[in-house]
Amino acid sequence: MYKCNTHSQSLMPHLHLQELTKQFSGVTAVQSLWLEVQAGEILALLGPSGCGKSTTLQMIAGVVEPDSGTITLNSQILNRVPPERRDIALVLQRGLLFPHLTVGENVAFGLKMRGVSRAERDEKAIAMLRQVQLEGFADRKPSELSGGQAQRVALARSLIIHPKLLLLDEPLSALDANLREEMQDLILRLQAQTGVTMLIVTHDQAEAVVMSQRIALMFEGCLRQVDTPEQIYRQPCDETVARFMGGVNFFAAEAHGRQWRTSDLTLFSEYDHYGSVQVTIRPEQIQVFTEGRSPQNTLPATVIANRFTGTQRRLTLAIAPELTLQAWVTPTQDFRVGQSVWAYLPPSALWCFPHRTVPYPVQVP
Amino acid sequence: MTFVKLQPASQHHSAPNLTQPFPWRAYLLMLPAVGIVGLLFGGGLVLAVLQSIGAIGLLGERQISLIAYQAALTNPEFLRSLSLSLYIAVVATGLSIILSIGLALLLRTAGRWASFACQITLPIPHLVGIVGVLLLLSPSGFIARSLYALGWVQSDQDFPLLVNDTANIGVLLHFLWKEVPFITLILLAVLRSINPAYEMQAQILGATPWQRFWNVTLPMMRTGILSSSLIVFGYIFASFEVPFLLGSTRPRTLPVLVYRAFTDSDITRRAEAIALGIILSVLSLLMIVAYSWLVSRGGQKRQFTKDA
Amino acid sequence: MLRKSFIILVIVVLFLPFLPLVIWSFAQGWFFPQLIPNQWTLQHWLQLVSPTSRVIEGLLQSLAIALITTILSLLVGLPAGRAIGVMEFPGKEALKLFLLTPIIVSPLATLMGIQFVLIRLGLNGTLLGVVLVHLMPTIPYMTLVLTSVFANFDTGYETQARSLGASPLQVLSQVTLPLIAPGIAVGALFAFLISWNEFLLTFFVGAGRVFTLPMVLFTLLQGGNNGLVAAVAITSVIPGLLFLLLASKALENDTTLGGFGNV
Repeated sequence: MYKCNTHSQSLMPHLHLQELTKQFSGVTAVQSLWLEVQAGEILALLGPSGCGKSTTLQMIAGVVEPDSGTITLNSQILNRVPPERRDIALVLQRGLLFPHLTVGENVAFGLKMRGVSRAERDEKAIAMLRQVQLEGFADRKPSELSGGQAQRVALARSLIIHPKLLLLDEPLSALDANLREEMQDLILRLQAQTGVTMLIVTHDQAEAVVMSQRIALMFEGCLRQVDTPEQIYRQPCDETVARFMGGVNFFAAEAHGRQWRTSDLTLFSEYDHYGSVQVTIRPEQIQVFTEGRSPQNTLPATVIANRFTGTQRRLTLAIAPELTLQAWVTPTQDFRVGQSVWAYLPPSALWCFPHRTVPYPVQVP
Repeated sequence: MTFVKLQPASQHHSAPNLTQPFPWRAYLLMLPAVGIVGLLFGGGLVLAVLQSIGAIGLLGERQISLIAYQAALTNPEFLRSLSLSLYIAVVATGLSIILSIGLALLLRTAGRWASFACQITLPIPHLVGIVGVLLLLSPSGFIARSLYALGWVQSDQDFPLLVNDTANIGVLLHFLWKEVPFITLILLAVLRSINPAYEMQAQILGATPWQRFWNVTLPMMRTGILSSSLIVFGYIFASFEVPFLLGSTRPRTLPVLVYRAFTDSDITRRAEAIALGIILSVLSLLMIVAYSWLVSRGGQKRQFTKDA
Repeated sequence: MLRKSFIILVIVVLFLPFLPLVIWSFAQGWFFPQLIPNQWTLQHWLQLVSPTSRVIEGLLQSLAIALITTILSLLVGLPAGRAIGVMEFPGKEALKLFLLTPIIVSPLATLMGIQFVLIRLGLNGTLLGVVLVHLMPTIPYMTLVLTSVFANFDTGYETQARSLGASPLQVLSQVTLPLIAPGIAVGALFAFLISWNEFLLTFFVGAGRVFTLPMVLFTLLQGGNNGLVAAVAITSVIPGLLFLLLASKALENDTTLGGFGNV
């Protein structure tokens, strides 16, 4: 059975957080956090607001001092290094361009602080602006930029100092949905060009999945699961994680190896487990037919709700007296409310974890 | 030159505004204030000009000439008074601003009681301050007595002259005492409206504390510093009772010179007094023009080398 | 701790001029080089309340003038502050700057011109005449404060109240005024303090007949009775200090002072 994994094993991590803890006036924001990030990796720190992910980022950047624990970057302990000498860049939600400086001066700011000559600064700033597709914007004021443009300038301003680590704190959450995708592409392209190690904080699971190679899920100051997006999607370590990743189907069962029984039915899974478990299956994995096909895991059901979302048709299926499941099918499949159908639960999609009585309350986005 | 919006501007614009389509309503709302100030201040100034050129006169005589201005400008004291007034205003404003920036930065993270205690001179009348400074700094004042008690001075003759002195130390100290809390109050409000995340961002981009102050905090306080300088400089330049009671007897500041000429037993010197007053007003008006120019210059930044 | 000691040093220096004032007001014959007077007395304070010193008269006249001036400049400043703070119209910046001129430009020449008219209108040396000239510096301060407060005021609240059935007058009394109350408090504080402290304008237009507290103090100062001068000086601090205490909460509201930071 899969075990919750919050430690990745590697010999030479680029960034290494050990036992990082921070309290704010008695309230624990981050609780003995361990995390390793490889050089050149993109890791998303994902969790609901207030889970401590921004505090973690600020501790790495050096603007918040940890109560205990160590931060190591390139085998150098950073705890005593002031932020201005860490060579770690941080991009915040609203970009935070200095309003009294032009776009060009904003981009060149970090170089100016490092005593780089004006001519060299200007040249590099213009080159950097070209990289974020804002050629010719150098003399504008930040107030003349759109939200997306401002965020690109903020990115250029951070990358110009060639940081050892790029931290992004909810960089896209203030942007429109379509602009967000464009920005995601740009960030990933710039990351590929520069090879910079990137830590991105977000509360949006879809964004974390698209942007990162690994996701670190955080709840109430603790890391719950660190894994690839696909693993977290398909094999969440508990109900909290599953719910946060958009899981909606949960029911209790008694597992006997690959045979999982509820009071009414018996299901077959690819995974071995024993004892009292909580079963989950992602709604888009359930297949719905008008006639039964496979003898295993095919259950008679009644459609009790049918909601069209544009890209999906979300069906609520009554399967047993105390079991309803959500099945999200392609919109071309249409069903009437009250219609009798067959629901097929593929054994590879059935996943379970030990039963938890009090799940962490998560609002599904 | 717009007012600081402490709330996000978007909130303001998104609100449907019932009054905006009618600009005449704005002018109507402005009318009482503009009318009273225009009538009293503008009207008074116009009447003063008319009097100074002899178009109207207290005694009914009418003879238009610029003789009053000639008398005013050839007054041997005029240039010395002007430079004294400028000296006092420049030094007092400059020192007040520098001290206020420091004090505001100190108070930024201090508690309520400290900020409140530093506002203490705000409601104190200038005349009371003058009395306090006199009783404190005069040769027989409290400081002279304290130094005597410590054995540092042997008599009131040993104590340096700090009031009615040629360097106008008493005047400068009085203005510092009165204006530093006022400017600090304004700059503190300006500082608090600056998002501290800007300084954090600068630090992360590699700025040392000193670089943060020069490159982020100070430029963001720029408009606040400029506008409080304008108000304080204008006030000090035009102030009468402080240099009259605490300042040097010769030369005298421009406002004191105007007052002396106006109250001269020789009634013919009145026109000269009014002419001097108008010159004083014109100088202050020029200051406002210079201020507007300074503020608008803030928008023009150096151009980046041509984007190739 | 260095920071704290600096602040304490500043506060001590700011309070220093009050020390000789307080001692003098209770001192009998305090001669150099005595650090502390040999004899204490209440005679200066008793003299202060006797009608011959004209202090009570000055106090009442000052109070009347300051209160009337404050109310009038509030009535004039509210609409102007609203127009500049909320509305857009051509010539706004110029009008704003124009309203500032009386606090930046020396009033001496203007006073001589105004006096010419006031004499002919019979207002020279009257309370009304003094109130009129006091409006010159108080209106700009009032407008500056209210403009900044209105600029940070969301007129959406008024629209909301109207849509809930409030009449324009109800909107004003139930929504607008409560929301801009800190601005009114700070604007009134400045107007009161300026009028209360005003010397030159009263001196010119009052023509010796309007005898405010600053006039009393100025006259006494020429006389050289340090004890009485100190007692009057302390007295004339009290109303402004009380007003400051009352408005201190509103002064912490940064929008009320934002206008000074951006004229």
